[in-house]
Amino acid sequence: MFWKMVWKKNSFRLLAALEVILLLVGVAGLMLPQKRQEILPGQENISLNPGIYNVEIHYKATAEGNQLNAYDTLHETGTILFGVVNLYTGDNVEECQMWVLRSTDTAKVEVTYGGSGELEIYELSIVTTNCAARIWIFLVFLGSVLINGLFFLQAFDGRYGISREQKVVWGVLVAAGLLSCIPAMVNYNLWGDDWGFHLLRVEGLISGLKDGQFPVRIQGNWLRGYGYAVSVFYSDMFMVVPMVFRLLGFTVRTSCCLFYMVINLATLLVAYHCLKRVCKDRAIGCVGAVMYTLSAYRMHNLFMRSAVGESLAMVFLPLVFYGFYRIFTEDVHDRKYGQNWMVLTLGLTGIIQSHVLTCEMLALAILILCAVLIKKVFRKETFLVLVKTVVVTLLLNLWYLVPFLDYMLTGKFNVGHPETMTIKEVSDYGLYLTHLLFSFYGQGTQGKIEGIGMGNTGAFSVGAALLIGFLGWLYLEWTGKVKEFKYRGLGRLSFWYTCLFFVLVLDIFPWAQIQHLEGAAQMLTLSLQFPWRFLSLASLSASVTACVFLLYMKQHPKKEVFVSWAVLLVAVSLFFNAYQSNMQLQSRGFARVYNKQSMGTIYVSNGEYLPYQADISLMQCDLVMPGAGVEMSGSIKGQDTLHMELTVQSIKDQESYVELPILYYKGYVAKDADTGQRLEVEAGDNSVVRVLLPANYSGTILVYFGSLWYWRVAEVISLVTLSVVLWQIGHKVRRKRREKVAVVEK
Amino acid sequence: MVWRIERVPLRVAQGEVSMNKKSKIFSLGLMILFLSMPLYMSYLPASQELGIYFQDTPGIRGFFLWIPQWLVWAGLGQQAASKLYLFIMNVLTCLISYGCFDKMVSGKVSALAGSICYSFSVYSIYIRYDAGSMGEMAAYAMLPLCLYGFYGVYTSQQRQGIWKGIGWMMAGGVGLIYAHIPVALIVLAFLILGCILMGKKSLQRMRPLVLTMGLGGSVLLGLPVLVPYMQAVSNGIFYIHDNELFTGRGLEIAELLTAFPVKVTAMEGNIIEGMVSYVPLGLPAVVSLVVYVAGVCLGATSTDDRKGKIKLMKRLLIIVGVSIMLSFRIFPWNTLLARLPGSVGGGIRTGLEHIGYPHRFLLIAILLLAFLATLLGQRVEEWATEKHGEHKELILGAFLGIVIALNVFSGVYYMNNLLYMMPMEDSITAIRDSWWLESEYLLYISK
Repeated sequence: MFWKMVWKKNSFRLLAALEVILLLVGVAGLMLPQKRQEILPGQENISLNPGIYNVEIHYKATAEGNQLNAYDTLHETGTILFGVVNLYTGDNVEECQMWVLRSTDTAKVEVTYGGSGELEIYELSIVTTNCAARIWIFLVFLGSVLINGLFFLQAFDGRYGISREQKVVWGVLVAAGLLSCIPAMVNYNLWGDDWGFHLLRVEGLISGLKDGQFPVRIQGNWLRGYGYAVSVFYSDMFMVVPMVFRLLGFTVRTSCCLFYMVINLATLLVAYHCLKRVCKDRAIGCVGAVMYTLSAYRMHNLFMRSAVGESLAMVFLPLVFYGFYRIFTEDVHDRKYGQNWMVLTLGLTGIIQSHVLTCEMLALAILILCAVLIKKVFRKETFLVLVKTVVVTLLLNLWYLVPFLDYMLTGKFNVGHPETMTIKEVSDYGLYLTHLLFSFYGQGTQGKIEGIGMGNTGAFSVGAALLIGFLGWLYLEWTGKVKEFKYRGLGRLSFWYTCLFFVLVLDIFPWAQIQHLEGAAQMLTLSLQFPWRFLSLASLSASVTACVFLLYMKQHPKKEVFVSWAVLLVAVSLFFNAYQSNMQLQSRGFARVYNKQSMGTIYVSNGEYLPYQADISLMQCDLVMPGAGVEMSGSIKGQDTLHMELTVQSIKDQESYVELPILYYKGYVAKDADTGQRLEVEAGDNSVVRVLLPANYSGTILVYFGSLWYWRVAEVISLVTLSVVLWQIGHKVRRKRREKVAVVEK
Repeated sequence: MVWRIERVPLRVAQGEVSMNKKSKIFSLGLMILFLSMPLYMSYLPASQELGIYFQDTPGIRGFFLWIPQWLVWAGLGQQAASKLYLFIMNVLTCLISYGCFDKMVSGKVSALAGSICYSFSVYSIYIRYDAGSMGEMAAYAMLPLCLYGFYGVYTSQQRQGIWKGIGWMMAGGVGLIYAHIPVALIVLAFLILGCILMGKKSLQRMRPLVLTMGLGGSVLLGLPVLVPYMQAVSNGIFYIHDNELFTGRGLEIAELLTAFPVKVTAMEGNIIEGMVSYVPLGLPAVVSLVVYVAGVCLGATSTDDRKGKIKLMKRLLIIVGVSIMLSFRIFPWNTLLARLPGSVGGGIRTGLEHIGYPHRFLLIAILLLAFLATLLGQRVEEWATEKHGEHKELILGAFLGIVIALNVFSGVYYMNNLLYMMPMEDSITAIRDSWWLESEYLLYISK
């Protein structure tokens, strides 16, 4: 009835028609044929219309240092977005995206010789693409959703009325969402610590899919084509979001900014819905979500550290809290109690797929929770729900966990070994109490505390607003005002959790002693790297504490008291976030990267997932090393691919080998192209792939990464579990609808 | 008729009294926690200034400066001793200022507001964590006692009250002498000015006698420090040896009114060149000043009571104004001293050189503006009770919130900036061997 009413409005029909026309324009753009324009290196005054092109270059280089660049000679900025592309050694073909923002007759494509070795250019051309049309369709679709949404909202308000409280709440959420995205509303990316690492993951996901891997395990674009098993250790599930932006045709820079915005908005919305349901109050949920999303540590994590995984995990932490809250507080005899596993499963899955280290920290928090609420844990109904949660979570994530555990338990990597880790002493990163009380965090990036102190320190605090809420609850406890308060238990639990996490991040906590215990303790501690990571959990527990504090204030006979506190907390949150963002934008270094080739390939951050003691400096492009008595007649390895084809001949009557420019990880397959005979593969010098050749072998070998059979079994199990879960959710939704209809009919 | 600020007993039930106590403890605890923020680190800001307190050099050491030395003898390291001393000073500053303002003015949040303005003033942060001036920190803690004593002497109608007042003044005076003699000189000068401004009242009752006795008593009790100090003065030992002299070390007006104080050194090529020290009044003091100047200018109602209050505020503002003016570089010291007879001018000039820095005159302004904030809090509470009884809590909460916010943007901002900008120093090991010979603290180090 409502939709029909809206459709009948002429203004809406006009709007819909306009949107369709705009979409069709985009679709027409998709159909345009590709045009290729061959050019010469150094050619000037190239005419280009606005659009997105590929600059294709086929070259052969025998030394490093050669570069490709494209720019406008008249207007150096604002016309062509390209970046500087390194031309690596070998016979290579590169397709480099180029964005032309306005018509130009003075474009230039330049190849710079590095000064050593030989460089031959076989082909250089500019090819049109339909990326602009894709971006157009996406923007029209997004704009339509927003405008239509506002239209429906207005119509709904006119017919049924939306309460003032709801309007205020959503107004505050929109404002907070916008404010949180300010550092991303620029035409560059702030140079976060791990910024390059995560951008390479996105490109690696694309190259892995093109390589035929699904799911992607080893990304072939890393380390000059040697590949890096980042997808095994760090799930790529949510990197699909920036990948989609890249595939649509956005620059690396824009995709990164958009991704940050998506993370911020998701954090805000998830936190709002969870806290609203726990507190049974929209306004408190809103304040809690705003404080959580704008907390100093979270903003620092996202924009200054570019800790995308940790920031993604913070999206799901409120879900985990909400899930546990429902399991431990709802009536176990309720018919629907058994379904409480869903929310918690979703939250845990989200965290597992985002950031394994947060799982490590969360495991500790969950153990403590279960110990504190042990009586409730062992209620029959609760125990069953918890078991179901664990089982379903494991099964859903088996596709990721099996390869991860397989590598961690059977392989040897830099992670967990202090001699190969950049971070040698975790205790060097313990905070002072001063950090937690500090208010005016801004542009600081320093993570290490030992020997450096507070100078230019990172934002290692939950933030002023959450601190006020935390101290507010402390005041209520100290003055004994909460003795009869209904939510006292929740307030106390969240308060003490916050205190625990505060202690864990401080330099007084004996991290050095724990690290030197060896074994699992050492590995877990070293993998944690920085104790201040616990501030992500502290931000959540402090938000819950602040929400419970507001719940207490709501009891006050005068409504103005509650409103004043809510406004104060939001205002403080907005102010200090604005200050922090302001300082970040003014002082932090930044970068503009447009195409993937401008990024380089070797930013592995701390190199945790490299095979143990592998030396990156020895990894040179296309470096094939035959063993004794082996002759190579040819080898082919494409850009960003882990597929390799090589023709070899053993000239001696003995077993030998050939080493390839690919990093060895379990799962590589080598087989004879003609007979299909499998050849043994092992780790060679510097942990590269070594294919063992039987005596007198001659033929063409195909090498590629193939998932192990039990990985495939795990993937199937996860898929089946997902199908069952979706079916259950669908069943639940249908049942709810039937119940609603039944109520209406009654 | 001078406005008497009476302590109005609160009509409370049993439970509320104990809750108020807990609230006070909580509030003071938080103040001390935040004021001591830099002490929780593994190093100490301004530590390069502190090492000389432990040097075995010729000079005089007041009681307070023995505390860190005793702590070192007890087995603590020099940095730990300094930190503990700083913490003790923070506790004393918060408690004494709160206690004194609480006694002077009735009301739940007034005293707290004044104590926050005083403890977190930029000057307070500066002497603790920028200049590392141990003696001045102790003097800063003692200062409110002098104000409280002065208040008691001039507002009590009974002899007992007057004697009590002089007792507190003496306690404060002796504390100042044993903490920082130059500050004691400043306070003495302003006490004299205060007595002059109080007009006839200074000659009424026993006040001339008790004030003289108080001064004499303070000097007598301070003799163990004053005598060697005067001997050093007569031997021509000076605080600071530089070309600027006292008259060249004053503040610029811009420095005084800067809203967001940051750590600045003369070496940084700052916009404000040539300054030696950088101690703005801070937002709370400026706002307090503006509110009171506005209040005075806009006049009073016809009631005697209000006129009395305005008279008091005018006097306080005169003292504040004088204190601020004396801290400026443009104050015509040379012109004024030249007009005085040679020995008098020379004596004053010597006294000024021992005060060292004109910005020290701001101490009086800071104290009185914090007190004015307390009075404002009381006025707000009266107004809220009279006109908006049911919203009284909210109005007081808003007032306290504004006071806290102003202090956060001022003193706390400054403290945060110090921590952010100052490199980590190996405390105490940054001592330069011969530097103490030119140190202003020379006169405070014992043999």
